[in-house]
Amino acid sequence: MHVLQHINAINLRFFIMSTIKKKDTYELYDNVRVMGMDYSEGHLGDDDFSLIISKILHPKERLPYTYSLFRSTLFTIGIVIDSYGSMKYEDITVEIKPNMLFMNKPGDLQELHWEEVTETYGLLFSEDFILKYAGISIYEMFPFLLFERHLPLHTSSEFQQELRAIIQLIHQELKKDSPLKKKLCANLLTRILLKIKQEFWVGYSVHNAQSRNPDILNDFTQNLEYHYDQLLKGKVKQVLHIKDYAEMQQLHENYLSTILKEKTGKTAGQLIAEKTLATAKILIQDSQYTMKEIAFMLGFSYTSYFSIFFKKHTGMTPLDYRKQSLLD
Amino acid sequence: MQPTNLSTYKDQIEFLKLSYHDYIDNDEFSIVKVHEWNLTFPFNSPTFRSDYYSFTIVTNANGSFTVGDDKFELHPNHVVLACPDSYFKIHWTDMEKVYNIAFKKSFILKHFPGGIDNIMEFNTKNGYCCCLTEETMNYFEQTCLEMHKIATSELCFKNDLMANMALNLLFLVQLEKENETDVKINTSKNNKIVVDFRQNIENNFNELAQGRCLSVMRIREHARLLNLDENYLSKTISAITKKTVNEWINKKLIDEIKYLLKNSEKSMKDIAFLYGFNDLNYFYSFFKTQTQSAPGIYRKLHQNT
Repeated sequence: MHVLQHINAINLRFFIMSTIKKKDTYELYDNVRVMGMDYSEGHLGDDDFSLIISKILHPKERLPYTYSLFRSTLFTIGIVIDSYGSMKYEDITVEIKPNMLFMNKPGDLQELHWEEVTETYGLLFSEDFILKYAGISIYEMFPFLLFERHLPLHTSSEFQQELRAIIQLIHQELKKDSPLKKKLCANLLTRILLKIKQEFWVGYSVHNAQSRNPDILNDFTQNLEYHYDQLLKGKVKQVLHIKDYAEMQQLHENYLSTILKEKTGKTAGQLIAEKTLATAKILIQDSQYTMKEIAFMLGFSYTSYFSIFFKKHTGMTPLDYRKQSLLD
Repeated sequence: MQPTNLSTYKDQIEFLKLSYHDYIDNDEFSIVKVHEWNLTFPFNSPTFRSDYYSFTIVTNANGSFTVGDDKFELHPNHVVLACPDSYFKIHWTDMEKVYNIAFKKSFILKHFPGGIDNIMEFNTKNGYCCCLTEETMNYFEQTCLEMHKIATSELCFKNDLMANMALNLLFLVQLEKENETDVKINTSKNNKIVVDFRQNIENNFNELAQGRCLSVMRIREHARLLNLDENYLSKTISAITKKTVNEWINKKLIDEIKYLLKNSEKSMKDIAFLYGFNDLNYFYSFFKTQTQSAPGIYRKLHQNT
């Protein structure tokens, strides 16, 4: 399931769906290589974190260009310094003009169209990446990424300059091969997010998001994130099921599932499983817990169920994962 | 001369009889332009002990830092990170431009937890000093100026931003360190046990130095404090750090003793008792096995030079 989702997003993004076999497409970076050497400079990084330099991916002869409808599997920040085009979401189309900032969360459905590209950057990252290398939880530090819709934010050109300077540092870092590459990238990415938070979301908290934007998906994400946050901190012991999440919003579980599937392309079960997996990874890296404790914390009645679940999604047993993260 | 314990940066500034700026309202983090203090040269600070990291960017100045058993010579384009919980002494012969960033570990944990392993990596020694290229120093200076601007501003989330920028510089210093020593950086040493264990050693030695504690903690006490089995603790520490529990403790112990031998007038007996040796002969033989020289000889050798 995991592999398939990756392939979908990646292939749609690059229009090379039919040409490559499953195995070759697992790494995002490989895809760009398929596009030819000319373009590999335009997309630097790996599955967890990458930088897109749109000018290189879209030279004049390849414009106008439309990506087919895709669901992002990662968080995306688009920094439009000077370009024109349009971005279509499920229900709304917005024009892309200079001095704009776009932010998308995983699961957002979108269609991107470019008319003219002079200077635009895209940052793609996973929740895991920022947690692992910066130790920062998106839910706690940058909740606006999860709960707000980021139709374009208009920015001053001074602010764009500030962001551009950081992007340039990221670019340099991605081209080098230093042992602290990931940490430095996570550091700079956090700096960008902090600047955005400073500029647009001062005083924002999860609580005022809810009242402003009653939305089934938002509420579900919020309940899910909150619950797993509490689990990690050891404040709650039991695990919730789809039914419990549905009841929190006074909905029927089938209805909740349908809505989630429509909006994210994933069922509630999948979303919960993904969150469980992410939480498991954090707990495993912290060697103060035994596998048995972790399995129990996450609601598995037997350690073996947990191992099977973990192996199914990562291809690795929990113990191997711990060993690897210790030796890395 | 009795070394003083200073816990906050404000204390240090008061201790050094310097004026401090209003914006240092935070006990956990501060950035200052040292050259704006108008020190009189040559400047010599008394010895003190701090519980914060002191990260100094020497754009243009000459002097030296003595941290524990190590002495770092400072010249233009140098940066130096001094780790907490060691005896610390500052000397400047002249100065044109120097920035100092002081921070506590708790500050990093709060604002950029991903950097904590990297900081701890520096703790294997009392500090680290290196020379940067002109270009890199330029970047360091720009970042310092930007941080200073943020520090004096009224912006929201300024602590998060400053922690972020300080760590960025520290990562770069760590890369320099790696180039120099050819030691592989262990990037995901995300191990709570190691971090806690090392913190407990530091705490123990701070208490010893203040006379609030009478014996050096050994593996049994460490294991008990961490709620772990002795064997498990010992295995984990050796596997991850490639140094045994005793090596960690003895290294720190010898380091502190050496410092007192060199820089204080304390008698052997006082030093031995300070670190929980009940028998002076045992103290001598311990020192000799660890350093290949007798404490008396060591003291003579270093006080003469």
